[in-house]
Formats: sequence, C-alpha cells, structure tokens
Amino acid sequence: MLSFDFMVPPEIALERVLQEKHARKEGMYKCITGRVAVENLAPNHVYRWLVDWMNQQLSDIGVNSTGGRLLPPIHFDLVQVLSDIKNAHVLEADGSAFIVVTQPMVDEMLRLSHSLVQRNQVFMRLQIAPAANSHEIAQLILFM
Amino acid sequence: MTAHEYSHLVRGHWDDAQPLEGGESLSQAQERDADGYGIYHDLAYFFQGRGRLITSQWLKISYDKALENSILDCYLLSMMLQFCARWAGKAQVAWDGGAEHPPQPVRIEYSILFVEMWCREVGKISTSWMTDGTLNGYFDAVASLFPSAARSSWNLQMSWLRGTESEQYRSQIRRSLDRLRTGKA
Repeated sequence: MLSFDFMVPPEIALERVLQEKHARKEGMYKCITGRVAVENLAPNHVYRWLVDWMNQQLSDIGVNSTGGRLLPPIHFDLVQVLSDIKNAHVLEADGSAFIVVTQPMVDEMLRLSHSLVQRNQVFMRLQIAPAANSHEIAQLILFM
Repeated sequence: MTAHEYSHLVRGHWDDAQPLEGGESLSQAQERDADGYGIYHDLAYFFQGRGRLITSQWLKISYDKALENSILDCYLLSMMLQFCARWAGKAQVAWDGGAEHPPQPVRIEYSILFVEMWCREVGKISTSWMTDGTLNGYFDAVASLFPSAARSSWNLQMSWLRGTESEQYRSQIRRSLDRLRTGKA
C-alpha cells in the first residue's frame, strides 16, 4: 500500500493547536484566537522580521547549545489575543515545541524600545551606532 | 525572551523526571536557571554566531571592537527593558509548567552576573562596565520610561532584597539552584 508521510508546516500545526485549545476554552488559550499570519505582511514588516529572526536563531542551535539533549523542533510565532494581554508562552504539541508571544507584548516592547532610543538619541548616536538610524537601533534592542 | 523559553526546554524543566519537591523555591530556581542559560545562548549567538554579522549590518559597524561594545550595550539595555517592563506590570512571561518567577530585581541582579561571567570566561571581553557606573546609567535610562506610580514599589522591594530579612529567601533559592544543577538533594 502506498503511504505518504507529509510534514505539516509548523505554522499550520500551531494554528490548529491554538484553534483547538481556544474552542475548548482551555486556560489561557481562551483569549488566544490564533497566530498572526506574518507571511501575508510586507517582507520588511517588524512582525515578519521578528518571527524570521527568532526562527533563524532557533534553527542555528547546534548540539553544543543543547548539551547533547535531543529537542523537538522548535517554532517561534506571534499570536493574536482578544484583549490587551502582554505575555509569552511555551507549549508542546504534536511532537513540536512552540514559543509564542502575544501581539500586544511585541507592540509594547517596540514602543518602549523606541522611547528609550528617542530619549537618549545623543548616547545612541555617539556610543551605540553613529551610522544607524533610531529605528534600526530600537528594533535591534527589541529583537535581543 | 525566546532564549529564556528555549532554555526551559533544553534544561528539561518540563520533564516529569525533574524533582517536584521544593515548591516555589525550585520553580524560582528554574526561572533563574533559564535566565542564565538563555543569556549564555544569546551572547554566544550575538558575539560568536550568525547574530554578529546581522548586528554588524544592522548597526553599520565593521570594526570588531566597536561592534562588540555596541552589542554589549544593546544587550544590557534590552535585558533591563524586558525585566523592568515586567516589574512595572507591562508584560508577563509564563510557561505551561506554571512556574513562579523570582522578584524582578533579583532576576536583574543575577542576569547581570551571568553576562559578566560570560564576558570574563567565554568572550574574553572587558567587564569594566560592572563598576564604572554604566549599569546605573542604563537602569536609570530604562526606569525613566515607566511612570512613577508603576515604580512605587521598586524601592521597597530593593530595600528588602538588600536587607538581612531576605537572606533566608536567598539561601533557599541558592540551594534549589544547586540542586537543579547537580541533581543532589
């Protein structure tokens, strides 16, 4: 008998898990309505940059970083929430681990990063990066 | 933040095999353990991994020494921003294990020590920023972003942590952290 072993993309697997948990009103997931479809945003959108950056960082993890421990595939994503909930979660499902951050959390941290850079422009210009603009420094601080 | 959550997975804080006794102090030790592991992971990525090239392009810095200084400055500012945001009630971080988090000033203090340890032992980078007033300046710059009402309890909490009354709490956390690392009760 012919069988096909398809790998479900992590974005789809996560969306499915979130929808199931949300439908069951399971704990914190009753407020999480689904992932933010960053692939539909412009390539230079900060949400898309953040998700790509984090997933690239996670994919760079070698065996030295895990102390030899075998880890499930890890995927990072942003999630939409019903209210202004600012937090991050880790969940495991279908043999994968998902690190999710709520959209209001990213917005808040981005706002704070921008405020920090704006209020300390001279320091940022002289000490951090003379040739970079404020926006780039703020985003780097957010992404770290 | 991602590195912190990733560290919970690497360090097996979700495993059923982890000792469950210890209650809150063990949970708090796990959080601190994840902070430390995450910092080591982040710094290796930004100073020695692919993050170095990306940061160099982003900040438009090619000179090695200047780049390392800027990475460290941005990292310390970012770290304080994240902890202070949580301290001011602007953000929360939770994982499904439901761990209790140590007070934010304790996390800031220990995270700075982890950064210093990485710079000294792994990165071979100067740690003069620990004593030259840099950290106070960064903390003041970050703290000023939050309204004074949100910071009203900060001084009280810091006084308690600096006082002798917190010693029992500190030694409990230290014991739990040792147990977590060595597996010995």
